[in-house]
Amino acid sequence: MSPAAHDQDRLLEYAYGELAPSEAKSFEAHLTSCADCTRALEDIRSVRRTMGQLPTVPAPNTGLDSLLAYAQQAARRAQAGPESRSSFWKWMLPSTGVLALVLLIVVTRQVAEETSRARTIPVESSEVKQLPMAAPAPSQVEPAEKKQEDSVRSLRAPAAAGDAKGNFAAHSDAQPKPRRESADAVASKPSSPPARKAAPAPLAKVIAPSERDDFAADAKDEARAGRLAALRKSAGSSPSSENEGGSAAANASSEVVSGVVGGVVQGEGTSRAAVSPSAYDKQPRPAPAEEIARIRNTLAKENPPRAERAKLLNRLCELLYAAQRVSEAESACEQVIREFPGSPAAVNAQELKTKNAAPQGR
Amino acid sequence: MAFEVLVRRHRTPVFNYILRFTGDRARAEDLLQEMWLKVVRCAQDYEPRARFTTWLYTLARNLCVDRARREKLRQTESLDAPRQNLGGATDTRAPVELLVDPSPAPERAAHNSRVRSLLEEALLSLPEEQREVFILREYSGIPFREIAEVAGISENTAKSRMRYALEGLRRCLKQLGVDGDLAEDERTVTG
Repeated sequence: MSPAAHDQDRLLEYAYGELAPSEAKSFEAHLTSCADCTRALEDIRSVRRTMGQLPTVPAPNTGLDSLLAYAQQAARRAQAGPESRSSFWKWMLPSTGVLALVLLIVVTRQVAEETSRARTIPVESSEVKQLPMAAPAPSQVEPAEKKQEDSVRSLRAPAAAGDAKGNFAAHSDAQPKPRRESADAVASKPSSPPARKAAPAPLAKVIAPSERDDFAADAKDEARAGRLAALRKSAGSSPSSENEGGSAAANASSEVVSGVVGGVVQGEGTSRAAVSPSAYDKQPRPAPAEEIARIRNTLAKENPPRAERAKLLNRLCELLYAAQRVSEAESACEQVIREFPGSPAAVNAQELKTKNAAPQGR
Repeated sequence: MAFEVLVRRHRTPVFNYILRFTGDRARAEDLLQEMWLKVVRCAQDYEPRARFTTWLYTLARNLCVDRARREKLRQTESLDAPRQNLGGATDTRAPVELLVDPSPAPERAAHNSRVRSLLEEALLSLPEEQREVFILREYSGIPFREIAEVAGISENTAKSRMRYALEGLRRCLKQLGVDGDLAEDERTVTG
């Protein structure tokens, strides 16, 4: 019979001399009266005696010297380490600071440049504000397709400065660019930029600053819509001819508009009209892509007022169609229609879309 | 140099611990060197509140356990392969032959060598976790409380493993025909 569990622990500790003297004495007293513990202790002692015959093997000296040398080297390194590290940081910290400062200056400069560049956009967008006067012209293009073709023809011969029909830049970008107007238009609008001035007045009124605060607003919109409908009627078959047809000046400006917008909005039409790239490229004008990018940037970052946004989107539609980026143009138009339902901008966008959808089908 | 003092004081006990744990002299020498290198590299990790001996044996024990695991994966030692006893002498006989000494009047040294081999055999027959506790307590003189620290177990577990180790050795030695009386009968010789 083996000793109880608590006795086994004490037995082990007693056998290995780990019991305190007082406990050892009391355990010895227990041993005198417990045969199991006595036998168990004897077993332990027997095994220990036998296993104790295993000799202690001296450790080899191999590698001892190299180990001690390595330890000395490590100790030296440990002593030198913090000093060299501190000298490293002595140089590293200031140079890091200087680097950070230089970086900060460069970044600040770039940001300032970006900001100043961004500030120029509202100036351009103010031009854009007026351009929607010309923007509805796509609607004029189709009814006045012949006129447009004339203007396109005039583009083929840009040198013909005295062309009575008027030679216009194929694109009416918002960027400043030389535009040639018909003699009538120039006569009626002496000041520059002529293309803008030549744009039909009613639409300019439609999207006049006083009225463009909120397209979704009540009766104003209705009135505008009514006026637009009247304008469309007055333009005959062209649903979106916003010319105040009738007067010669208006006709001339219609030509101007159709010429300008025909170039801008109907960029595809222009290309269809086989304007030679050389003649086209000779026009000193900023890249539409740049304007597109700027408008997109303004829309994305500056969060312009609703009316302004509508105009910018309109302009974007025009430019995108002109750049033959039809799908993007369509999505821009749809955005206008979606965001400003019932507004002139939406009507304009719808017209642009319709106009440009037809040639696609061809 | 303090390190040299430490090395000289502990190298033999630690070497014996490793030798008896692994049962292979060459491997034990290798592990001993590795352990001292580790002591140098990890000197900053040593916390003075722990006993240096405990820390040293913990390093040695971990190295032994790691090596044993690696060896276990790749090695299936043939029972008939020639073996080297812990003293370095090569014994070409199979374990079965070691159990019975056929020579009627063997020389004492040879006899001692054979018995020593049997003892080593008995020690190596123990499961690793029991063997390490037995070696630490019996040969290195580490108390159970510190063994628990070295092996990362509770003190009760250490004592329990020690009991199993003692019981296992008793049975094995009996099987091998070696018992405590051999020493008294001078049938084994120390050293």
